[in-house]
Amino acid sequence: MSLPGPAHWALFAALAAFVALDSGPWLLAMAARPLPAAALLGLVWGNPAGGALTGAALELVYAGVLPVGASRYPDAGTAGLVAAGVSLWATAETGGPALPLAIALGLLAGHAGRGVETWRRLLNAAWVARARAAAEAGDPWAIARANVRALAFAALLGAGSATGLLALALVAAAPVVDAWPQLAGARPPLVLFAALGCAAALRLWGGWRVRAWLAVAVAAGAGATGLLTGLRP
Amino acid sequence: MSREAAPARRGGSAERALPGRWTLVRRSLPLQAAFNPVTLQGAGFAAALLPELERAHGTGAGPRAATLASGFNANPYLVTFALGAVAAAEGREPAARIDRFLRLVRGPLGSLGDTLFWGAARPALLLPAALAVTLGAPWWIALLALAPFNLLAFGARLTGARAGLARGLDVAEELARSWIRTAPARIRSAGACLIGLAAGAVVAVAAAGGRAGGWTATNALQGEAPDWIPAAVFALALPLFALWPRRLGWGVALLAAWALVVRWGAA
Repeated sequence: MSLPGPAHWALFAALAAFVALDSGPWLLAMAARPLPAAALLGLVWGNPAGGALTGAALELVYAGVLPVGASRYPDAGTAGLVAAGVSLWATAETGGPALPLAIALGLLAGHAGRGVETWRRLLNAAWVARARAAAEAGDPWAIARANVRALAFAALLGAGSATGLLALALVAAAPVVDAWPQLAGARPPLVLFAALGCAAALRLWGGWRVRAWLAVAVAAGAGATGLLTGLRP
Repeated sequence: MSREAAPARRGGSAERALPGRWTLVRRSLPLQAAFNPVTLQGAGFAAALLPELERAHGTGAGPRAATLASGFNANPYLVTFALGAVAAAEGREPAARIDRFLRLVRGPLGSLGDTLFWGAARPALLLPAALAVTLGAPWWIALLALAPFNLLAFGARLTGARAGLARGLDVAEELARSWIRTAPARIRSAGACLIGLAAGAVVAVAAAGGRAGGWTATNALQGEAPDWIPAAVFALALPLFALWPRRLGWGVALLAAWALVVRWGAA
């Protein structure tokens, strides 16, 4: 199995840096969610549809995770990038996306990314404490400098950690990717994705109004699809 | 404006130009750059206000910045309400009143913003997009879904900056009347409809018979007669995922189990 080339790694690292910034430190345009992050990786690696499919699966899995307050949560952006990286590589090597393997490795990367983020926050605390002391002593711009330093560090750490995790994931995947099932005839996984999406809506929103809208919409969606596309029993 | 006397300043000026809305929005973007478990967004909040602190407090800006950096947390999309209010109030209101305002406003800004953005808009846009992609929709749907979210986010940021700069520490009244309070319920209903429609289409396509090795609706629609298995799997999986607290692990386990079944079945 051949691993991605230097250009692929460079593009991955640059995208991982952007995703790391967008995941919290800067912008928050939601490009760090698994679906867009994986689609972007697919775009720069030449297979946007493959990247988007892997990202869609992870998006459905991570939909219920809310980044509220100071809570700790899996790094969904890194998970999306690593899963998409594995899936795109598997597609290039074997012709199939090895989706379950990619998702499993992506989830592991997401949990590892949570540890990295925790460590980054602790480092931030030390930098901010020093900056506050300097501000007390009459240098208010020390706080702005600490902010810029933290921003640059977040980008570098995001690029480094995601690239390292992808390398580990590819090393782990290489021996088994040939033997891994490709989800041929994948109807139950399709409906599992649908169930994950609806379950996320129910868990996030609850309430009878949402349940009613959801039930009616599921029936309408199935019925309309059947009518419009000519499905027959 | 408070009738209390403004604090004494050394070299600062209360008669000053306020920052523009876009300037405040731009400064709010790295709010969480130095996020940490001790001061949360405090450093980003103080850094966004440094020019106003210098104009208001002159050489006394350092201690004031250190105080503001000592702790703050709000939803990052709505923080411009607080930033605008403090930018307008620094040097004109007593520091104690500003600090009290910041303690009181962080809860509403956090809960309203989290409900609107994390709890409503994000899932309402990304979940239907994800389901559409699994059905074989074009990949750019994944990026297109970000457009309405960011329109909403920048709309909220600009609304907050305008209201904060105009109303100062009385901005809470503006927040209480804002569309931001009523938007989540509408977005949730619309999101439930979109997710349900997409999920129904997925089940219908799956029931029509997925092509071996295929993931697209086009291929699936050329398949055999519908069967009851996809609908049954959906009906069983939905409550499991909705009720089980660690559904993430179950989702992966089910995907892996199905993959192995397919593999063994094929063998």
